[in-house]
Formats: sequence, structure tokens, C-alpha cells
Amino acid sequence: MIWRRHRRHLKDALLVAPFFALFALFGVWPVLRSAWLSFTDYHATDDPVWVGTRNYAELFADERFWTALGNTATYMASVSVIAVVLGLVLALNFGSNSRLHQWVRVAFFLPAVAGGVGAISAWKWLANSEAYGLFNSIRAAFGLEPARFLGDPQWTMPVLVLVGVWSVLGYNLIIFVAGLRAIPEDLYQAARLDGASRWQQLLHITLPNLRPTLVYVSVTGMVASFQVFYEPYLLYGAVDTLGGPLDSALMLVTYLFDRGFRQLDLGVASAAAWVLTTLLFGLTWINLRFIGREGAR
Amino acid sequence: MKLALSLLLATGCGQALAARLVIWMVGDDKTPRLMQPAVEAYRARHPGVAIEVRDVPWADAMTKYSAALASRRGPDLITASSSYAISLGAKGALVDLNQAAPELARELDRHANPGALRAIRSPDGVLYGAPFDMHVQLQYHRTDLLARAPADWDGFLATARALRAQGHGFAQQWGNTNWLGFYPYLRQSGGAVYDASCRRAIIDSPEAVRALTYYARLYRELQAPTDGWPDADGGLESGAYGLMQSGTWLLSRLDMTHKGLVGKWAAAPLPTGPTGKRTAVLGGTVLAVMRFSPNRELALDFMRTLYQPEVTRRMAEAALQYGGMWLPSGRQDQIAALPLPHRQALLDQLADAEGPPPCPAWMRQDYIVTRAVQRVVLADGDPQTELSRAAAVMSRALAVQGPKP
Repeated sequence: MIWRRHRRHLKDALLVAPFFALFALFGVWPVLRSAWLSFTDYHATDDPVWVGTRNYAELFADERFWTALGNTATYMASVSVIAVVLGLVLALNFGSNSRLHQWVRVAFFLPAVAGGVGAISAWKWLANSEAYGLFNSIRAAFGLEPARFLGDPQWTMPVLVLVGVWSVLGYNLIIFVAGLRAIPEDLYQAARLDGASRWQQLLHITLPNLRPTLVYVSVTGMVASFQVFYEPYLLYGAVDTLGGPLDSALMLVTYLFDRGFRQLDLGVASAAAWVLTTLLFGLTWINLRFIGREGAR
Repeated sequence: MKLALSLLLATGCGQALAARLVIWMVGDDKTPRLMQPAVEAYRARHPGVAIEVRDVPWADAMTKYSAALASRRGPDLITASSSYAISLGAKGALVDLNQAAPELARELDRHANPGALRAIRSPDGVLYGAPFDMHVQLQYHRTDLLARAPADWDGFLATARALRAQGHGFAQQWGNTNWLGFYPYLRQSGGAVYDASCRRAIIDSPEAVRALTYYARLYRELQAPTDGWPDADGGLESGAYGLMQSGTWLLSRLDMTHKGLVGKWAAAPLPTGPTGKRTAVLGGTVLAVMRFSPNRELALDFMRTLYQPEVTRRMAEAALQYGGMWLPSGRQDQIAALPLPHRQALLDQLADAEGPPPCPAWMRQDYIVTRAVQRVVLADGDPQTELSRAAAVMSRALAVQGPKP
């Protein structure tokens, strides 16, 4: 009886089974395996040996881990806030269907399409120390000495944030434009009839209605920023060093890469990965709980 | 391994192949071509063996190697940076040549670059691979701005100051502001990172302090750029730099990549330090057999073939033909006969070059030396204080963990 009832779903189950099999194999299993490895001494050459929480203790006692965490938090906070605020401002000002606004959106979205290694290499050229680097050429035009944009720890975070914001701004802009268009025009008409100013419309109509979009952009932006790797790696890394000047470009994922794939400390690297995962869960939960709840209210 | 060159030779294609030898080489897509003469020589002796040579980008090498180790599958032979080969070996990833191929180890003792050999031999004498190729640092200068490169530390500072007064700076490229850039000065002043047993860091010795004090002057007085990899060759062409230090790979590339420099540059060994030594960092790669190779004997025999003088000579010539430069560190005796640009400067520097410290713990401690160097260079730290702090941290870790990687 039960078999006959469920038989008609058998074909559906078979159709989705390959996805679930692959997801379990390449998604779930590696995650579970890395959780186990984080409690082992493992260097790839021999079988893992259970060491309890020793890797976590070593991680938390490592000064470089805290440097990486601090750098990552600063980067994430800066890029998330600036890219969200600027993206919203741009969406409010260039969100119409006019030809000019469409071109502006295309221009800002290009980095999201054409990013990657090539774009970061171009940034490296722009920021190099020589007087003919673009940034230094601009400084020279104002009579300023060349700055060590890629060789001075004070410049590291501004350069990384600039590149990070540049690469995500267009994406945020497009999402915000879509969110703005979903707000019913009736609300604005009613507000205008009631004499609401543009500022009041923004505060009391646009932002509350845009909250789900804001939550989405913030959460995905924070998660992506927290996992930043190739920008600091390409701008500041080399074969013999990864963290840039005074480790000012050392991020959590760069640190994880260094421990796992340069020093072959795969147990400690797995522990770092789980700390990163836990932090991301925490951040997402806070975002959803506070911004999401406000939105629901 | 974005681009792989598979050298599966077609000779004897009618017969079934007995085995397949897989070789991974760090480098770019041109690198596997280097191996062609060795593959041909080997195939003449083992016609039934297929050989596959793949390139592994430098940045991905350790990721690829660790994945191969974890799966107990992968290449039979690898080339690996001398910076991390000893660490891989100490972790049990590589075959000890003293045990597996003692006659090859003796051959290397006779003909390999001594510095390259020291860099891959552990303190207890285990030989984790054979020196494969090498690069050292050299001075490059604009001949229209400077007739001769400076010969010693004092001469270097005086020359660089005079050039700077004329608007031409100095730049260090390879290893700039990290341990690798500082290391030549450390060795030239008679210092070292570890003691001979690799159980104690001696990076706070008076010689090391003297070296770091001098090294910091390159940045404080000469305002050398502090980027991880400044565009020193481009700067040499534009005149932004009149003098620079970088690797020997530029010898074969400068004229090709910077047309404005043709006929206007020269190379020279590094200036001598207080001990009279001009030691440069010896970088490059080693050729090693993976512990999990199912074809260990075939792989060792491939190495024996490769280090025959005729084969290494053909490999070096092949590299020159495609615009590269391969300096066989395992057969240094071959280099003098090669038609290399600025050969004498190169030979002089190769005679006084050292690889990274041959201590298994170095890979996990190199950043401590880099941090000390950067605190002095970038944050005006005191050399004695920073090196003492570094030595204390390193020795403490060695006391707890031992000299293991």
C-alpha cells in the first residue's frame, strides 16, 4: 500500500538523486572530513593522528592568526559598509531607464564581469612605487613624493578596500536598483500628496521597503569579504612571503592557505577553516536577527 | 596545471607500454620543454615506458603536491622550490637519495653546486633530492650611468648615493624587504639563521645585527622601494633606477623585454661584505622522487639519465633556444661551457651562493625573520631588539617542537 502510494515519486527521486549524490560527495563529505581533521595532526604524508583540541589551542596562541583576524574584520567592515552605502547612493541616482543611467550602471558593473587576476594585475601596475605608476603620477602632478602603496603597511588596507569596493560596487548597484523598482509607486505618490520631502520619502518609504534587499546585500557582502583571498594574495603575496608588509595584508583565508598548503599543517588549517565558518555563521545570524527582525516589524 | 605538455613519445607505439612515469615541474607552460632531451635519452634506454611531463604554476605547487600526497597518488618525480623541498622531505614526502641511489648521490657530491646541495641535505645527512636548476642574485646597472658595479658594501652605498643625487635610485627586486633579500647580507657578514644542528636560532648574533643595520640603510638612506616586487627592470630601462639587484633569469630576458636597455646594461656579482664574501641567495628547484611513487626504480633511473653530462648539456642548450635559461645545479661543471650572457659574473656569483637554511623548521619560521626585517625597515625598529625577539621566538618553538618541520 505504502509502496503504491510512493511509487509515483520514484521517478522524481531518481531525477534529483545525482544532484544529492554529488552534493553529498563534494559538499557535505569534505566539510565533515575537515571538521574531523581539525582535531588531528595531519601533514598529508601520513595518516591523521587524533590530538583533541591541540590545533585550536595552537591557533589561538598564534599571533599571526589574530593579526589575520583583525585585518579580515577591518577589511570586511570597511568594504561592506562602503560598498552598501555607495551602491545605494548610486542606485538612487542612476536607477532610471534613461540611456545615461543604463551606461553608468554598465560601467559600474563591468568589474564584476571583468575582475579576476587580470584586473588585480592592472591594480598592481596602477599602485606600484615607481614614479610612473598612475597613482604616483597623480601625486607627482600635485608636487607630492611617490608613495609606497604596495610597500607601506599604512597603505595596505586603503588599497585593499579600494580594490574590494571597486569589484563589488556594480553588483550592489544592480541589486539595489531591482529592489527599488519593487517598491510600489503608490506609496511615493501618497507621500507626496501628504507633503513628504525627498528625505522623508527615503527614510520612511525607501529604506524600510528596501530592508530585505539590504539584508541580502549585507550578508552576502560580509560573507564574501570575510573570505577574501586573491586580492591580497596577488597584490602582496610572493613565493616566499604571503602577508605583505608587516603582515598588513594577511587575511584569514591567506593564513589558512599558508598553514595548510605552504607549511602542510592541514590539521591547523582545518581548525582555522572551522573558526572562519563559525564566525561567518555568527555574523549571518546577527544580521538576520537584527536587520531581518527590524524589517519584519 | 593549466597547460600541460604531454611528452608521450610515439616511438614503439605498437608495443604495450609497461609503465608510465609522471613528472610535475614547477614553472610555466614552456618548462616541460626543458625535459625533452632527458626524455629522449631515457626512452632510448626504456622504450616501453611512457613519460608525461606537466607544468605546475609556482603559486599552486604546494597545493597540488599536498593533494597528491594526501591521495597517495600523483607524480613519480617532482621539481620543487628549494625553499620548501627540505620541509617536504622531512615530512616524509620524498625519497632519500643516499639510500635509494647512493651512486647518484656521490655523483652529485662531485658535480653539483655545493650551496644547492647543502640546501637539500638535512642536518643528519639525508639527501631529499637532486639540485635541478638554480638562480642567484646579481647586480644589474646601467652602463651609461655607471661604468662599474660597486665591489663592496661601502662602495655600494657611496655609488648608490651618487646615483641618487643624479636622480637614479636603487631597487632590490627578488626578496625585497623579506628574509630572502636580507639573507645575502646576513651570510656576507658571517651570520646564519640556525646553528649547525638546527636546534637553536642564532639570528641575533653580532654579525646578523650588523647585516640588518646595513640592510636597513638601503631603505633609509637610499629610499629603495619597499614593494614586494618592485618593477626594478622597468625602472632600469626608464632610468628611475641606475642600479638594482635581482635574479639571474634577467640575464636572458632583459634585452627581449626591455628594448630600450639593449647595449646599456651590465651584470656583476653582489658587493662583498665585511668577511670578504659576496654570498647570494641560491634559489631554484630540486628534482625528487615522491615517496608514494609506484615506479620508484624507474624514476631513479630517469634521474641517473638526466644527470649524465651530455643530457644536461642538451637540456641547457634547449632552454637557451626557446629564450629561457636553465642552469643545471646538479651538474654545475656544465655551466662554464654554455654560451650564456654575462657568464663570468654568473660563474663568480655561483661560486659563492647559499640556499635557504637547510633546516626542516625553516618553512614554518621564515616569516619570523621577515617580520624582524620589516619591523626594522618599515617601522624603524632597532636591529638588535628585533633580531633578539625573533631568535627567542624561534628557539622557543624549536625547544618545544624540536627541529621538525
